[in-house]
Amino acid sequence: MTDLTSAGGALRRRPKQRAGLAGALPVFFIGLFFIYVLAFLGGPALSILFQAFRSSTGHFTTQYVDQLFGHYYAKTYATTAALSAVTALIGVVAGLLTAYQIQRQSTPGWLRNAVNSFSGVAANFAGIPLAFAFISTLGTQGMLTLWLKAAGIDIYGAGFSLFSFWGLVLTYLYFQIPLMVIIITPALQGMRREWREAAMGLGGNGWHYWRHVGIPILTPSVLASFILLFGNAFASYATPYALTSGLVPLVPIEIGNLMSGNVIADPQLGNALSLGMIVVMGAAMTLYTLLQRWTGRWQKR
Amino acid sequence: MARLEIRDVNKSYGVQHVLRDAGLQFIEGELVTLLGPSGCGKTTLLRIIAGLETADSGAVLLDGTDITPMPPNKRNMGMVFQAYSLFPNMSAADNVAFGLHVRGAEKGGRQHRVGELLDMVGLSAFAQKYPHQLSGGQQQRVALARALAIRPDLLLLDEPLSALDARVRVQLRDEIRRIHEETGVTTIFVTHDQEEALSISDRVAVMNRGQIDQFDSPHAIYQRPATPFVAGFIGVSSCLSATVVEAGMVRVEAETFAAPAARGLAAGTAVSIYLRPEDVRLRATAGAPQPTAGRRGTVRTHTFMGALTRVTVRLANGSDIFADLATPEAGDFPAGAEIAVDWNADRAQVLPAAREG
Repeated sequence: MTDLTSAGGALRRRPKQRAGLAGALPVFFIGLFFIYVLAFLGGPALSILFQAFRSSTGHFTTQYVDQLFGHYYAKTYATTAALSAVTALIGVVAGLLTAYQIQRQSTPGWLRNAVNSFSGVAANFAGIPLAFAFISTLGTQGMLTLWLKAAGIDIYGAGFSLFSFWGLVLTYLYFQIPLMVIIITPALQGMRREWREAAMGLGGNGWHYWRHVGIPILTPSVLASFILLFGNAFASYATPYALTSGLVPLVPIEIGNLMSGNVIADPQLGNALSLGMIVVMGAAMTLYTLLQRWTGRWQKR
Repeated sequence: MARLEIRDVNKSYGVQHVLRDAGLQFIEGELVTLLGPSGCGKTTLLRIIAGLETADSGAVLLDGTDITPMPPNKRNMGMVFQAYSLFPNMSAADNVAFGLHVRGAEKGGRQHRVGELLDMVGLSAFAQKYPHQLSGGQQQRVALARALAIRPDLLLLDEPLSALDARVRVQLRDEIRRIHEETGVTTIFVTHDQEEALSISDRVAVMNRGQIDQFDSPHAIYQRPATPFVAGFIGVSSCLSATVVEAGMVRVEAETFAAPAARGLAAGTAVSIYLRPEDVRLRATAGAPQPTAGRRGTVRTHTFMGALTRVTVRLANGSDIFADLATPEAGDFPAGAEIAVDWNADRAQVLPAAREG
C-alpha cells in the first residue's frame, strides 16, 4: 500500500477511518456510561462503606453498624423488608395474571393497548402525587371512605388505616402491579403457541403444560421481576413519607431523617443504615442469582 | 396405522374463506402431502385434523369414527411444527418422553422408548442436550422422535423443513421418508415446496384457494395436471392458447397440431396447451423440413442449470416457450438464432382455458 497515489490512498483510507470511528463510538458511549455509574453508584457506595465505619472524629468504629442490630433498627429493617416482600409478591401475582390475560388472543386489541399504556404511566406514578391521590380517595375524609361510610361500611371503624402498614401495601400496589405488567409482558410474548399445542397433541392438558413447560420457562423471569419489585418498594421514600410521616418505621425514611437533621442529625448512622440497605439488596440479588441458576439451568449460558 | 377421511370441511376467518368443501380420503400407512402456495389453506386443514382448529362445517373421520368434536389431546396424533416447538426447558430425552410421561407410562418403558426413538433419528448422543444446544435439523429430528414416541395413529408434519438450510432439508426429507417406511404410520406432510412434495409422497393433494385441485400420485400430478393452477404450480410449463378444431386436433394461431389430450373436448373450445420443457425440442431451420407439430421462433436466453440448460424461445405470436437441453447441445442454439420448435404431442396437456384463474 506504500505505492498508492495520493488520490487512491485517500480513497482507500476512508473505510479504515470509518471503521475506526465505528469502533470508537461504542467505546465512547459505554465509557461515558461506566463513568456515570462509577460517579453516582460506585463512588457513593464506597463512601457509605467508609463513612459507616468512621466516627465523627475520623477514627474506625463499629458503633453505628452495631446499632443496626438494636431492637428499633432491626424492626425498621424487618418492616421495610416485609412491606417490600408483600407488595412484590402481590404485585408479581396480580401483574402476571393481568399481563397473561391481556396477552391472550381473545383479548380485544383496544383493551390490550389501554392496559399497556396505563401500566406505563402508573408504574411511574409515585411520591407525593400518589400519596395525595390515595389520601383524597381512602384517607379518613377520602371520597371512597365517605361513600362507603354512607353505604354503612366504616372501613376505619373496622381497623383499616391508609397510614398503616396495610395502607402502604395498598398504595404501593398502585405502581407495583403495573410495573410487573410492563416487565413480564416480553416474557409472556416469548411463550410460543407451538409449545402449548405440542403439549396438547402429545396427550397433555392445560395443567400438564403449565406444570412442565409454562411455569418452568417463566420462573426465571418471574424471580427477576420479584427482585426488581422488592428493590423498588425497599427504596421508596416519598410515597411512605407523605402518607405516614414516619408512623411506620421504614429504612429510607430513617436515613432521610438522620441525613437531613429532621429530629436528630447523625450522618454516620445514616451511612450505616444505607450500608444495611445495600447488604439487604445484595443478599436478595445473591438469592436471585442462585435461584435463577437453578430454575433457568436450561437457558443459554 | 389409521384411515383418515376429510369430508367437505369449510373454514372461514371473518370474511376470508380459507377452506371450501375440502375432502380427502387417505389410505392406511401412506404419506400424503398437502401442497400449495401460502394462504391456500393447507396448514389450516392440518390443524383441523389435529384438533387445533375447529371446522365451520364438515367432518374428520378416523377409522370411520367422527373425531371432529374431539379435543387434540384425545386424538393420538403426533405433530411436528415448522420450528421452535421443542420445550426449551427440557433436554432432548425429556422432550421425547413428555408424551409418554403425561400418558402415565412407567419410567422403565419410557426410557426404553426414548432411547429407541433417539436412536431412530440418530441422536442418541444428544439425549441430554437442551434445544438451544442443537442445530435446527437436530431439533426437528427430536421433534419427530417426540411425535412418534406416543405411537400416534397419524403423524402430522407442518412444514417441518421450511426453517432449515437447503442441504439439511434434503437430508431430513430423506430421513422422514425412511422413518415413515420403518414405522408405517399414516403421515400428512404440509409444504409449499413442490420438489419436497414430489420426492417424499405416496400421493399429493394440491390445494388452491381453500380447495383440493388434484389428489393423485406425484407422477400423475406432474404428467397430467388436472387444472391450469396445478399445471402452472407444479414444475415449469410453457402455456400456449389454442382452440379445439376437431377430436385430438387444436389450432394455435393459424397452425393446426395433433393434441391427443384434447380428444374429449368439443370443437371450438378455447384451451391452453401446457408443455414441459423436457418435452420440447429445438431444431435448426436451415434446410430442414417443416415439423409436424412445431413453430418457428427466436432463441432469447439461456439459463445454465448444470447438466441441463433451459433455452427460452420467443415464438412468432409473442409467446415464450422453454426447452431443457443437455448443456452441450444448448450451445447449438445461440441467442438470436432462428429455430424450429417441436414437442411431444402425446405429452402435451390440454385444459379448457375457461377454468384458468
